[in-house]
Formats: sequence, structure tokens, C-alpha cells
Amino acid sequence: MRKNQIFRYFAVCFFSFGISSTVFAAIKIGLVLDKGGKDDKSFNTSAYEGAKKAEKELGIELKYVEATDHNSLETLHRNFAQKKYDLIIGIGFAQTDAIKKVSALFPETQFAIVDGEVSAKNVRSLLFEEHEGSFLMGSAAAMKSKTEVIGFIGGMDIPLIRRFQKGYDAGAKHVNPKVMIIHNYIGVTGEAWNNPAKAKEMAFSQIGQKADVIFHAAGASGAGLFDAAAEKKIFAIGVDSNQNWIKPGVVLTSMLKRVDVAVFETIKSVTEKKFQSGIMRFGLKNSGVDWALDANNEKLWSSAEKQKMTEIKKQIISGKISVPDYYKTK
Amino acid sequence: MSLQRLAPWFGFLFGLALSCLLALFFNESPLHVLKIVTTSFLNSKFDFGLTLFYTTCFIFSGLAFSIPLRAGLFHIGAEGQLTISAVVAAVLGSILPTHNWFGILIIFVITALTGMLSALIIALFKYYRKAHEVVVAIMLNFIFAAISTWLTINHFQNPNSQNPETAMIADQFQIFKSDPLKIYFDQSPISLFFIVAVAICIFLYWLEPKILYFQVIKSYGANRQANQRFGFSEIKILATVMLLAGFFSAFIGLTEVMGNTYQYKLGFSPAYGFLGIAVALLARQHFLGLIASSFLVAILHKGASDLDLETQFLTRDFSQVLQALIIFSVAASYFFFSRKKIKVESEVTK
Amino acid sequence: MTIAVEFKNLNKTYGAVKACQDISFKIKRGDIHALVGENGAGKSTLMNLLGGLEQADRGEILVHEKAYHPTSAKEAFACRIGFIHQHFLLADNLTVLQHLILNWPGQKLFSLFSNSKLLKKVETFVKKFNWTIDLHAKINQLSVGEQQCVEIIKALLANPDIIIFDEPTAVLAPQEITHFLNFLKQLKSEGKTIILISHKLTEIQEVADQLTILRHGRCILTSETSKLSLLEIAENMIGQKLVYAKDEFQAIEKKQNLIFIKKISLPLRRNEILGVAGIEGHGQGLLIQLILTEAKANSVSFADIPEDRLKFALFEGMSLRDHMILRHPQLSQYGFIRKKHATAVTQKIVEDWDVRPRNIDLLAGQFSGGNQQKFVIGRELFHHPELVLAAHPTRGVDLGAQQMIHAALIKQRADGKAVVLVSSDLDEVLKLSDQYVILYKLKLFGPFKKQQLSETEIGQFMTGSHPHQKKYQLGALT
Repeated sequence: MRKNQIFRYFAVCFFSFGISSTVFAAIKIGLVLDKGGKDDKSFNTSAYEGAKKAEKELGIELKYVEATDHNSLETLHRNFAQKKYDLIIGIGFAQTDAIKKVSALFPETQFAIVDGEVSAKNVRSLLFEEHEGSFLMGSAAAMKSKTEVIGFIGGMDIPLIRRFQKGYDAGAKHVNPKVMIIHNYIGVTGEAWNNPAKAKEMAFSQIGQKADVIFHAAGASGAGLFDAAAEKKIFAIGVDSNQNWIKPGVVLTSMLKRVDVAVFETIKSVTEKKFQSGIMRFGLKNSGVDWALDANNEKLWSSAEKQKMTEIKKQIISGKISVPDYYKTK
Repeated sequence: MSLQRLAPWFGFLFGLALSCLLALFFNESPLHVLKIVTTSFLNSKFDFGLTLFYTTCFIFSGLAFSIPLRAGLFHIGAEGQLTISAVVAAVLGSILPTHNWFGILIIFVITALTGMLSALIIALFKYYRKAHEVVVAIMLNFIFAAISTWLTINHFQNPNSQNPETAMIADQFQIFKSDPLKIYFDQSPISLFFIVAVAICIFLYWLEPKILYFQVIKSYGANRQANQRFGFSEIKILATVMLLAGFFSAFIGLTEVMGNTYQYKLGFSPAYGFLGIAVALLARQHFLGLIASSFLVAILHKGASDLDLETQFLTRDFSQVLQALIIFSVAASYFFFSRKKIKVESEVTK
Repeated sequence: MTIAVEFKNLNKTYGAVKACQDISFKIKRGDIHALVGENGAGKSTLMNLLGGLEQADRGEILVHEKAYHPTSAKEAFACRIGFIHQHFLLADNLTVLQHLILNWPGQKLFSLFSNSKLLKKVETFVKKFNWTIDLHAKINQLSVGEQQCVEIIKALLANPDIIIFDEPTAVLAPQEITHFLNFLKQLKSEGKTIILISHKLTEIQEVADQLTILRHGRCILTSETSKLSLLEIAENMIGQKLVYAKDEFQAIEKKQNLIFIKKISLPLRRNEILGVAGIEGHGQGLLIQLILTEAKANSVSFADIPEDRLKFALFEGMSLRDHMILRHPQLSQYGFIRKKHATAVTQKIVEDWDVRPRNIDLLAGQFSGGNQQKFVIGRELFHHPELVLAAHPTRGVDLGAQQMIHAALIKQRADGKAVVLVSSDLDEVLKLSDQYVILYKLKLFGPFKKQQLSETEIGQFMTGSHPHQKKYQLGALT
């Protein structure tokens, strides 16, 4: 009996050796996630979900990996390219250099990068108009604030997050010029994306200064804000993914950065053989950036407020409201 | 004797086997995992070059650990020293106005000095304040990491990037971009520093039995009291080993900045300083053994990061578990075997 | 008379070393049975087997005529065998009482214990044997003799039948030794069986009923002590006729001062052996340090044979050649080792001093104690130093080596060197030195000429109880 088991175990070992190299005819997509990893419930999760959706609906073969260190980023892209993957998607600005380098070495392979800009024939850069989305969030916060004090918690202090902040400030002032906005950044290194404890501390401090709506753009650190908000019974606003479900009733809304849509659309373009390189911008216009309204936060919004939000959104799209862009005004 | 020499290798194999078996929990075949881990460095010239780049860094960090260990110091400060040296090299590279060989010389000398002085602090604290080297090194690692981050973000941030990194060093300083090794290995991170590292090991191996002061250092490690009774200066010994250690740590920074990325990227080191401990223990401080064990650990480091890519269910976390298990069992075997041996020896002499 | 312990064809090997080969002998109940032999003869191994610290490869031990196979010290303890080790295993920071509580037989972790019960029991012991020991003093404040008392009390609390003493008198002052020997007799009168390991043959002759001689792991003979002369015992121990080296101990009249140590107003003179007697721990270490500092300050070349060779003179993991290189800078040039030269020189020392095995590449830790000591002395005398500082030079070495070392010291004296001999072995000091000083509580007394004091008086000086002690004080080390 026991012998039999051991034998079976070895048999399994040997057989699985063979299986791993089985070749599928399907289109192969490689997804390289940022250091935050696929479970950050935010940016990477969103990308991962888009790719998963494509796997389910488009019948592609998906392989995702998470980066360990800087040198490994380039290796991961190279390995995907060497294995003749059809499309390799890099998530996050940190991968810009790696994709720039590898895409030049493998001109036959198609690449996409989210949040980074690489101009090459085989790279599509997926950029988001974050400032538009966060303008909406600023408006929402100012609308819902009773104390006329609102907060902003950024992750890593980089231009991308400054862009969030600038849009947010403008949106709040647009609704209520008297509103006071408190800003905090968690840190200056990659660790800032993954430090919920510090986010919580900052949230408490902002609440202490009478903030009653706080928006975060801090990746996985945002969890700390949600905890603090739930404890002190104030509103929090999520980012990137739809985070309304995390603390229903506490999360006022989420600024959707539809990385999933961008990823899905890019994959789809490859399956339909319509892949185009160049820069693709996702803003309010094409629903690449949006605000989340679902069963979890429906009750928090009166129809008048909803009306007002839709109105602002329309005005941004039509250009009636011009949202300041940190990248351009720097 | 021979068994004792081989003990860490048994530990290594044991750790490898154990972690491969662990893969069973994740529905992966252990043999498949083993195959990835041990052969992924052969995938391409680039991969092989990357592995040799890791080898270079491990040799230097192995040296930085094993030389103080000869004097009985458990030096875990390489991580901080290599970080601060890398920053200094990158900053000098981007601000120096003289773009010729002299500028390169200045970068090398000042970077090496930075590493050496930062390591010297440990020796000074140990001698004058009787502070334990491990504690001081832990503190310094933290301090140097903070200084490096501050310098990078607040003063020398690369204006063309959102990454926390310094600006690129001047083009004239990027001499290793076109060195023969890099070209042969398909522009992978490897550079001529690899040859330097190997040459240093061979040179030290040849030199060690010939130099009196190496024996003095070794005797300090073997029996501090007797060494003192012989009249050797304690601070001189401590300073020597730490300066050497810092020198080699600085070379990791140079390997990265001058030979790989041409800038300092925050968090570029996947803990070279700590992996160097495993490398040195595996080699039992033997200088030539250091080359072999560095290469082995590099293969493993490379292979482990590929696990994520090559398998269905294993993630990068598993690769860390794998490395941790191997380091742990190497360390364990080291102490297990040597303790046993010492016990038997002492009884024979009774 | 019944047999307490019987060894039957006992064998024990460590690697290539045969520590015990077919050892068989009997120990009678109620006897004081002495076990003698040179270092490495197998005495300690044999006692470790009996004490359960080691297991025999072959053969058996009978205790009270029952088979006995202890696998741990605990089992030996349960069979009522007590073991008083040469090196005390004491916890330094505890008081005597705390230490005894810790080692109370049957004591379980966290079990409650009444101090007063133990206190009473210990006090009866202390009274019975006329000891003076402060039960509330910390262990590290006690003298070596007192520490030994603690060790003995610890063993006696378990009420053992058979008690093993491993070199108990090595660290004691003369009075303490007399006291201790009386104590052994008292134990015997209570019906205990005592196994005594000792180097000091006179003591053995005084107290032991029976005696077994071991040599190279074999049992040479067991006999009644009274039937053997001292010389016979010694010759059986080393396995050959003892040829006493002719003491070239000629009186030398003209003696120059080499150094004068102001602090303790002590001159070190050429052609003289200055003995330093005293109980260990009364400042020997400080005195040695002082002399070394003075020698360095006056740039006098010196030989340093330290009190504890493993601690201060040897690097166990390094070869003999490495030791020579480290000690003598002339074996290197511009920082490079002159390997050929060093090899030749080391080889010569190994041969001159009969260090076995004659392999200079072996690590120092692989030699036996006696050979280590011979090498250390050879190494230290290599550069013909002006001052020879020898601390306990014959501790733990066999008789042959002892003679060699003594002869060497005498030769140094004849060659015009100043020799300082620090030893806790009073016989050694009296035999070798021209004059001697006595250390007591970091103070120096003397100097005394060879026959100036009786042994009792010396004992009084060593314990600070001489009526005219103050008059002879030279200086203090502090």
C-alpha cells in the first residue's frame, strides 16, 4: 500500500515534467505586475482582473508574474518575449525602462505599458487622465463634507500622485471655494504603496483636524484609511478599482481608473489583429476614468447629488470645466 | 575533516530538496521545480550573463562577510555600505565635470573610500564603545538606507523619471556599456567587474598564506585573549578587516552603478549583503570556494525568480521561501557539524 | 568485604585514540581508592564512563555487583554515584544557597521549595566537616577552595554511596589540603566509597587504601598503597625508570638586576629564579600583567608562559608553525611569511622539546595538554629572552614533561636569565626558586630565602594568618 503510494508519487513527478511544456495554440499574453502584487485591491488587482476577463471571454492563454527586484523586471519581459508571447503588458511606471529596452530587442513582439510612455513601433502606452477622475472625487468630497475640511492621502510622492492631488483640489474648490484640503504623502519610496499602518495614522491625524471625507491614492496602503474611516465614522474615497465593497457605507465612492478596461481592450485588439502602437489616453470621455456607484454606496447619495455629479462629469467631457493637469502646469 | 568541509553543501542540498518537496503542497512537481531552479540560467546568453552579474555581487558580499569573520566579527553591514557607495558613485557620475579617465578614477576611489569609512564605523564602535558589531551594523544599515533615499529623492532625483532614482551618470563614464563581456552576453547586466571579482578571489587565495597580518587576523578570531597577550593592536585588526569589508561592499555599488544601470535605483539590491552571508558560510570562508558558492547561489537566485514565470501555481513568495530554506539549512548544518566536531576533539585531548 | 564497583574489560575509543583498553579492576566498598596515571592515561575517560557522561564501546561496569549501564549523568546520580569535577560547573552570579537549590536532587522546574529545610541540611554538613562558608555569598566571590566546598556539598546532598573526586587538591593551599584529606577520611568512616584521581603521590600515600595505575589506556596494576614506594608508583606511571636530571643548581653569587619593579619594590635579577607562591586567584594574573608591562616598557625581551595555555597562549584552530610565525616577527620579512625558515625552526622546536606527534601542520588543539605546554615553552624560549615568565608551567602535564620543564628553567637560570616562576604548587616553588614571594589578596609578601619558612608558616602567609604578615609586605598590586 505504502509502496504503491510512493510509486504513484514518483509517477506524478515524472508526468508533470512533460505537461509543463505542452504548447497551446491560443494567443499568449504575459502580464508583468508591479511590486505591489496582484492582491493590492487597487491598481494591480484592476489590471489582473482585466486580463482574467480577457482569458475567460477571449480564450487567450494568460500568464502573470510579479516583479521581485529591478533586475528581474527586464528578465521577466525578456523571458516572455523569448517564449514568443504575443503581447506583454507591463503594469506601472517602474517598468518603462525595461520595456523600452526589451521592445527594441524583440521588434516582433507587442508590448503595452500602463502609466508609462514608451515610443516604439511595437509598444502601446496606456495613459490615464487621472486628474479628471480626481476632480470628480474632489467635487464629491466637498459636496459631502459637513465640516468643510477634506483630506487627501497620497502614496509615494511622485508626479503621478501630484496629478491626482491637483485634480482633487480643483474639484473641491469648484464645488465649495471655502473648503479646506489637508494633504499627506505616505513616503518617497516604493514602500509607500504598501504601508496601511502609516495611512491609518495619517487618516487619524486628518480626522483630528476635522476632515470628514478623505480620498486616498496610495495603492494597498489605502486599507489603513478605510479602517480609520470606519472607526471614526467618516467617509473615505477609494481609488483605481471599485473599492466600495470593502467597507459599505464608509466608502463614499471610488475613483475608477479602468486599468482593467485598458488591459482588456489591448488584449482584444491583439486577438482581433488590430493592435496599434502609440499612446492611448483613457479619460472620462471614454470611461477609462470614472466614479463608482453601485449597491454598496447607492444609499449614500441623494438623487440631487447624483444629478450634480453627472452634471460636472458632462462639463469636464465637453470642456466647459478645464481640469488643471500637473504634468502640463509643472 | 573532509566531512566538516562538506557539511554546508549537505545543508545546501538538504534545503534545496526540502523546498522542492514543499512544492508538492502547491500541486507542482518537485522535479519540475528543481529543473527550473537549477537550469533556468542556461536559457539564454542574457540569462547566463545576469547570473554572472549576480555571481559578481555575491562574490563581493561574500568577501565583505568572510574577511571580518576571520577575525570573529559577524559582519552584516554590507547592505548599508553597498547602498551608500552606490549612491555616491551615481551622484559623482552625474555631477563630476571632468569627463575623462581621471573622473572615472575619482569615482572609483571616492566610492571605495565611502564603503571603507562606513564600515570603519563598526570597528570604532566595537573598540571604543564595546558595542556588538551586529547591533551597530543593523543600525547603520538603516541609517545608510535613509541617507541614500534622502539624497536620491531630495537632491539627485532623475528629472526624467517618476522612479526614485538618481540621474544617469555621464555618457563618458559608461565605459562598461561596451565592455567585451557585456557585448558577448547580449547586453545583460554583467560587466568586467566579474573578472575583477574572480581575480580578487584568486589573488587573495594565493596571498593569504603568505601574509603575516592575515595570520594575525585569523588568530584574533581564533582566540582574542591570546592574540592580545601576543601584543597585537586590537583596533588595528578591527579597522583592517572592516576597511577591507567596506572596500568590497563598495564594489557591489560600483558593479551596479558603473556596470549595470548607470544610475542608483532605490532598492536595487535584493539583499546582496545578507545573501553574502550564506555564500561565505557555504564556502567555509575559502576564497576559491567563494567563487563556486557565489555562482551556485546566483543560479539559485536567478532560478527562484523564474519560478513564478515557469510554473502554474508558485509565486514570487515561494522563491523567497526557497532561498530562506536553503540559507537556513546551510547555516544550521554549519553549526551542527562544527559543534559535534569540537566536542569529539576536546575529548580526544583529555 | 563487598565490591562497590567492578570494571570488566572496558573499552572506549575516540576515533583513532584508544582511551581505554580492556580495563578491569575492582574497588572495594568503604575504601579510598586512588586512580593515578599520566595525562591521557585514561583516568578521566574511565570516570566519565562511571559517571554516565560517556558510554563504553565494549565491556561492562558492575556497581554493588549489579550490571550498570548509565546513559546519562542523571542515571549515575540515581545509582548514588556522586562526581566532583576538576573544573567546577557553577553558576557564577547565584549565591551558594541559590545554587544548591538549583541542584537539589529531585528538583523539578517551578516546584516550590522551602529554603529553610535546605538551609538546615546544608548547615549540618558545614558543621560536621568544620567548614566555614558563607551560604549567602555569591559564588564568584568565593575562593577556589570554597567553591570546591560548594561542589562537594552539592554532590553530598544526594547522599551518594560512591564519590568520585577528580584532582580535588590541585587548587588548594597546604592547610586546605590537610583539611581536605581529613575530610576524606571522615567520609570513609561513614562508609562511603571514594575514588580519588590525583597527581600528588604523597597525598595518595597518605589517604588511599588501594591504588590503580593506568598508562596509555591500560590498567597496569591495582594494589594496596602501602605496598608500593613513591618511586615505584611513578615508574609504573610513566613506564620506564625515572632518571632524575642532574640539577645543575649551582649557587651563583653575583646577580645583576635586570629590571626593578618599583610598584612592588621587587627586583628581577639575572641568574635567579624568583618563585611566586600563593593560592590561585590572589593576584597572580595582575602580577604577571605588571611584569609584562614593565618588560615591554624597558624593552627587555621576554618569554611568556601563561597561566592558562588554552586561553592565553594557543589558537586551537591554528598549526604550530602559525604560532611560531605569530610570536616571532623575525620569521617574516616586509609582512611576508618566510615559510621555509618558519618550518625549519618549528620542526627543530618540536624535536628539541619532544612534542608528539612531530607534525607541525597539526592544529594546536589536536595535541595533548603536555605536548601543548612543551611547545609553548619551546616557542617562548626560541628567541633567547632575557626574562622568562613561567606561570604554572607544569600544570596538567605528565611527569616526564614536568622534569623536562623544570630542567629547562634551571638551565635558563644558569644561562644568566631572570626567571619568574608563578605556581600554586608549593613543592615546585620551593624546589626551583632561589627566593620566593607569597601572594595574598593582591599583596606581595617576602622575599623569603629557600629554607626561611616552615611549610606551616608558608600556609599562614598564603591564608593571611601569619602573626608578622604585615612586616613582610612588599607592595600591593592594585
